[in-house]
Amino acid sequence: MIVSIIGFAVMLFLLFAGVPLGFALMFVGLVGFAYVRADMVGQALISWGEAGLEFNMRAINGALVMTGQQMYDQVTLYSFTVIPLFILMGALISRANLAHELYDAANGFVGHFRGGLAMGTVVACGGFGAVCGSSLAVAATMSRVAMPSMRRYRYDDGLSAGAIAAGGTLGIMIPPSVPMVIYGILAETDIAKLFIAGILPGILLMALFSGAIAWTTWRHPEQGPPGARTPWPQRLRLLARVWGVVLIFVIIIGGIYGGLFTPTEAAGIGVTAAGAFAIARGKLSWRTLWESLIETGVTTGMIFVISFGAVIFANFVNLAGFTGGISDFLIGLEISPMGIVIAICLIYLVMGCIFDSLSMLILTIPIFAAILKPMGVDMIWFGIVAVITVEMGLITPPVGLNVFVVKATIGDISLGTAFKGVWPFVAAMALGLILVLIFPQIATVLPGLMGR
Amino acid sequence: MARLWSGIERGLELVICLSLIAMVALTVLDVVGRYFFNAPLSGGYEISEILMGLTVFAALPLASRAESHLAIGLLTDRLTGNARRWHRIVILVISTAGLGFIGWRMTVQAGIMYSSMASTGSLRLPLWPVAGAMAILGWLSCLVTAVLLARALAGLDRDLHAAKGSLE
Amino acid sequence: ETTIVFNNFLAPNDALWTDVMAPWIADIEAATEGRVKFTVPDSSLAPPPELLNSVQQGVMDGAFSMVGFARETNPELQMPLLPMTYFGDKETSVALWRTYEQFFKGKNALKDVELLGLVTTPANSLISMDATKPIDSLAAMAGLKMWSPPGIPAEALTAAGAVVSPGPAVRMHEVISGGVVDSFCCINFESLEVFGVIDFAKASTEVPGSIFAPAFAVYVRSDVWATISPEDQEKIRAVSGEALAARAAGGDDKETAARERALASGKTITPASDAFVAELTAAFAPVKDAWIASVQPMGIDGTAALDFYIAEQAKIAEGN
Ligand code: NA
Ligand code: NA
Repeated sequence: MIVSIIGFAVMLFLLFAGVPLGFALMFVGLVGFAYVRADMVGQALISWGEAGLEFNMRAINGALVMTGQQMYDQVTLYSFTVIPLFILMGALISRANLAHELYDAANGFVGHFRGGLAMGTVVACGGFGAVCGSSLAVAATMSRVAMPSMRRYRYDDGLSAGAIAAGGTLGIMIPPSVPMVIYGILAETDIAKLFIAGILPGILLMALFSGAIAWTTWRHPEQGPPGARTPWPQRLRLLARVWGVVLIFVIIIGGIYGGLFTPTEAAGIGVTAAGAFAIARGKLSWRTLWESLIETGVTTGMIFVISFGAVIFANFVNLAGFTGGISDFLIGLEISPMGIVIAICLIYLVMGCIFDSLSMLILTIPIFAAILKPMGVDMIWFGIVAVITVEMGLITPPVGLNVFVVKATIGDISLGTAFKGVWPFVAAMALGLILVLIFPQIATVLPGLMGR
Repeated sequence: MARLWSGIERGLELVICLSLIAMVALTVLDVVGRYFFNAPLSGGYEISEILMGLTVFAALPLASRAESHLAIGLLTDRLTGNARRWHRIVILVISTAGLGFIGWRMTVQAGIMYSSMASTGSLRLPLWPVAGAMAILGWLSCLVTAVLLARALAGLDRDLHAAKGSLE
Repeated sequence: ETTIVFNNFLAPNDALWTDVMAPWIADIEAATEGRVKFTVPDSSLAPPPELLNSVQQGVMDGAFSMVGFARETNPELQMPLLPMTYFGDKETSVALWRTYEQFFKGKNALKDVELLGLVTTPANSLISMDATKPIDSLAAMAGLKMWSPPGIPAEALTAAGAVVSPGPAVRMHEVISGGVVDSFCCINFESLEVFGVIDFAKASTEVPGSIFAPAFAVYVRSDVWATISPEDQEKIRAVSGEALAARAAGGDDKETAARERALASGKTITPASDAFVAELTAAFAPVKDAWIASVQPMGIDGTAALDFYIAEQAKIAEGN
């Protein structure tokens, strides 16, 4: 236990010193594993012998071989093959110009309300999230699409940035979702059910975000003046133009729900559908296809460097008895499983200030699943709770990746302004989290209907 | 030097593109074969697994060249001048070591897989060449980072920040 | 004193762990009066296919792993995976160890490890996900979409005409619960409950000797073994091998209970007709022949070993 805590401390130090996360985890995990491996059988890792410093070569070799095996296993793990495919689908969809049409359609319906353009942004983010598995892609795309028109109507920059950054998180709440895939793999939970479980909480968050906008513009009407009213025939025409998004969503989620194909296969089918759609609209040249593929490959590569490190580090703390220790500690508290889930949420909120969503899930889910599963906690429900909580980390300072993305895309807005605009949405998300904690049905009712 | 790298870059991009396209094609053929021809690609998933491994490792040199391994710049982004330069050098040393470590361990892993004749369960494809290719790509990433390090030590690229990528 | 870091890749409440491996560890610690101790990490230190390598390379000191993963280096250990060779957990496990001692030992030893035991766990046969379409003939199997574990069972089922989508257990859950296949094979009722797919097992057909039983090899590193005194080594051997195999007896009780639960919940389980059994025997013959050919290079008489394995199971069933 003490060894694990030292390991965590060293890891955090390296992290704040700017060492890439994957390498920091890898080196600390390697040294820690070797130390514990020697210690477990009553030996020292390094000792002072007759010939000077002596290294325990068996423990060191064991640790080295473990790292090689884990790296190889991670990159060739069947369950992970869905990750590059969902990323590729998002990359293709971003290039198919769908976001503009979603935004126009959403605004046709809500744009004329006070704060309506921001609400339209949130709704369009949700629609885009239904065909894209990453929150950063949604935030980046919607920044380009929604920011210019909100500025035209003199929306407050903070409110606009907040709406886009928060709306971006819908990308991983509404299926498909790469973090949910990773959660499903690590917690050995049905990915199809997780996807379906995300639909209602996603809609709930969309409503809460709109509420946050209504509240902000009620207090400060000058921050979000109403836009132009769209006549009904025009609204329907705009709505009809988003059929592509609906079709792709129905193919993916309907196919999973109806048992036509598995989530892994749905990713491959989704890529094909997205590609066909982009081609049909004349948006897919060889150049853009090539760019989408490279972007996907590099993002996948970066995810896996972290997962190499995380699995090596996890093996170290596992051998050092940390997992068992933490679970004994939590059980020793003699609080209900709900209390433990709330404790975990608090841990995530603190971690979320610094870590990004995927690193957090990769680092913690194996440990938390080992604790919660034996207590009979519904792991689908906990998955939704975990995704909402790590989502908050995407928009909270000091490291809120979605906010960074919005700033990077728009350019002339200060981080201070953006983070100030985000607070009402953080509050809305906290409310959403509390609702899902109190009423687990929000997450569990739809997967329950799947009858399997 | 620049021409050599751009040639390597094209090659790696080609590996990534072909692997990803093949992964999509294998999945679609499996589904289509199952429903329309009663003949799924039995064991096709094993090829997908291998292709994913190749994608990840072919992306490593590209990510290394762009210094985009995910890091937290919370405290270190504010460094300027010499402090920034030396910080970047230290991070490059660590990254070079990390990538060299990956290359080395995949080399050993290839050896272990060769001697234990490890193969996939269904198609019985030998796995050591896969680990071998990963080893080569790992060493290439190490080399790329080492070149960046040498340039930094020679006083070039002074304005650059140390690694800071973003995920998802 | 020797401490063995022993890997468990199963869930801590898995029957193979709680009823076979954990008591065996306790036996050894008792027999050696604490001179040989075990520590078991909270979760597996290596992916299942890499466990043997891990022990050979010192990631851990001992482990048990599916024999199927050693297919390329140790074809002889694949014998228990052949179809229609499982007639009860204790019978099969003990007969397997006896067959090993008589036919395989010394011919093609596992590298750098000391093999201490071989155990099987309960088997299963053909399971249809459609209550109205039990798999009762070779004709019913033709073109049938089916999941099975990869390797020998997948090859056997393909030889019998099924359209097999093999894969690891995670894929099993995905393809069965997703409705991608119409049938599946080989996973015993208790495990189907654990994997959460028991409700899909609508109509089972039981084949004498089953289609597939998982088998596991138990081993420790040779150099760690060498640190144990010869007297203690003898004591360990006395509680390992056949004694360890006999512990597998409990598997059948748990499996019978799970099977009863399946029946009670309205699922049908029917024995295969004689005609179907004859068809399957003929269809599986090439798979058995391929195994016999694969062990010939190491000087093993595969036909004799297989006959002995089956005959020995009958003998053990009669109490010998
Ligand atoms: Na999504
Ligand atoms: Na944050």
